[in-house]
Amino acid sequence: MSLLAGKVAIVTGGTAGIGRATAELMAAHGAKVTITGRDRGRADAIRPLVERGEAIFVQQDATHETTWDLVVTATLHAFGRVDILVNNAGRIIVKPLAQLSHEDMRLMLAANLDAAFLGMRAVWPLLAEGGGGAIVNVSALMGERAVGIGLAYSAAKGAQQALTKAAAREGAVLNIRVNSILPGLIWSDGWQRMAGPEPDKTKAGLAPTIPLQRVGEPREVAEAIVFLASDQARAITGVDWAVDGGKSAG
Amino acid sequence: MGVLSGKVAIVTGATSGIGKGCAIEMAKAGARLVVTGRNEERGANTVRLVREVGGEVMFVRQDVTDEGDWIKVMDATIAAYGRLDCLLNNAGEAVVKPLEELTLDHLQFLLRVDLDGPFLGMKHAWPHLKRAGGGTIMNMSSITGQKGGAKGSAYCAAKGAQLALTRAGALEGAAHNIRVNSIHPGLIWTEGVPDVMGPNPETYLPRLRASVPMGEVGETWHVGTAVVFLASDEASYITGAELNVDGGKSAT
Repeated sequence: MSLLAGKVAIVTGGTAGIGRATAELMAAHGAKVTITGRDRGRADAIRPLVERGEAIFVQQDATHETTWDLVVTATLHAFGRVDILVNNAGRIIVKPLAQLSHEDMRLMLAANLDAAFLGMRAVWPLLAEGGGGAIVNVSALMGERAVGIGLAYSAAKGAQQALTKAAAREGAVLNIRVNSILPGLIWSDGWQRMAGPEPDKTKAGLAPTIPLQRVGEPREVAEAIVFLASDQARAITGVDWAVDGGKSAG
Repeated sequence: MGVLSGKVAIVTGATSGIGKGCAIEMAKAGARLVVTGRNEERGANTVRLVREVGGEVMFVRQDVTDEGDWIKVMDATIAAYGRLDCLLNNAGEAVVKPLEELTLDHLQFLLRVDLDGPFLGMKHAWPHLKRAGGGTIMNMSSITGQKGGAKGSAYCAAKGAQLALTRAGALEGAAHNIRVNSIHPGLIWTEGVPDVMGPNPETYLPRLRASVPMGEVGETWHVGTAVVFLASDEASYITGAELNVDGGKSAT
């Protein structure tokens, strides 16, 4: 199945976890992909895609406006157009409210809201000129629900979902679809780093907290992102779609 | 190879509208189908359309509010294909009237079709899905099952109750790897629209289009592609979720 043949996508935070799985799956579906990330060292993980000519890597801190010019220019230079943007880059701070600094809050808003805003604004005219396109913003179940001690993260992701809906409204007449994906507990690189010395044990310990009795894999979120980015979803815009093993149903 | 190759699916209310469109998309994706409905003539038409896209399909006459009919549908499915992987509870009814004109009979009729129907379907599909090692159920709700709608008090109530059924089913099914999801179409063009809106679409289509942010009334296949994705193994971590297919209507 080639759901994205001939399409060009930008995936932020694409060197690990959900972003990398999305970039790989998009390439497998026939897309050309610009993968961005803050750390050039981690670009090794996506080197096979680059070597096959299916992707380019652009170093980017997506919270900095100027980096977006570079990302768009590099994409147009390499692939000639832009059809899809996946705002996947994000950060999380887990602290009780009393220990959260104002700086922490600003960082959460910059990483999870500003970056998505800047990305959408950077590609918007190109999508409009190209007759439309698809933007998928990766939020989190925590954007709708209080889970653990993630107040600043929840607030930023909630704001990002409101941004998504407003953009969907504005993009509708331009045939630009904008949707949110809400992953639940996914075994991303971030979780693996936090998982301690025995990650498999940590993963197994988390499983009973999820109705499907297992932690999700990045690939399972990537499948939903690819569907939303494809023409299969051509009447779908402005949705919040949970990929969470049933967690939000309870 | 389609994403539903090897899977056996039941689609209720497949004799027209969204159900017919979903059956065609599922067949294109490789599913073997049992399509059901009350009208045999229209059922034969769906069978013909599904076969035109290369699908394997049989029609079983069914009233989804009749438990005996559900047993008949399950028996026919197992007899024909030996297994069940997917149930699309699509059959539904709507009544659009001001509250003062709605009768208790209207409400009870909608609850029977929009709630009892999916409930019975889930109940009778359950043992077969468990035996298959898991499966998927999709309940066709509506964006008015999440939000209100004027003149829709009975319909919204029934579709809202159905959404609660979906969530509870998802939580219970998870242990058996049965995924249960809800689909929420917005304004979709079907044969039923002129029945509600009148015989001259040109008089009301501009207004309908203008009420959808994307500026068009959806097609049944727009819902069908979403159904195919949710029914496929690609959606392996998605259960208890609501997917809106509404051109942005519910985001505004």
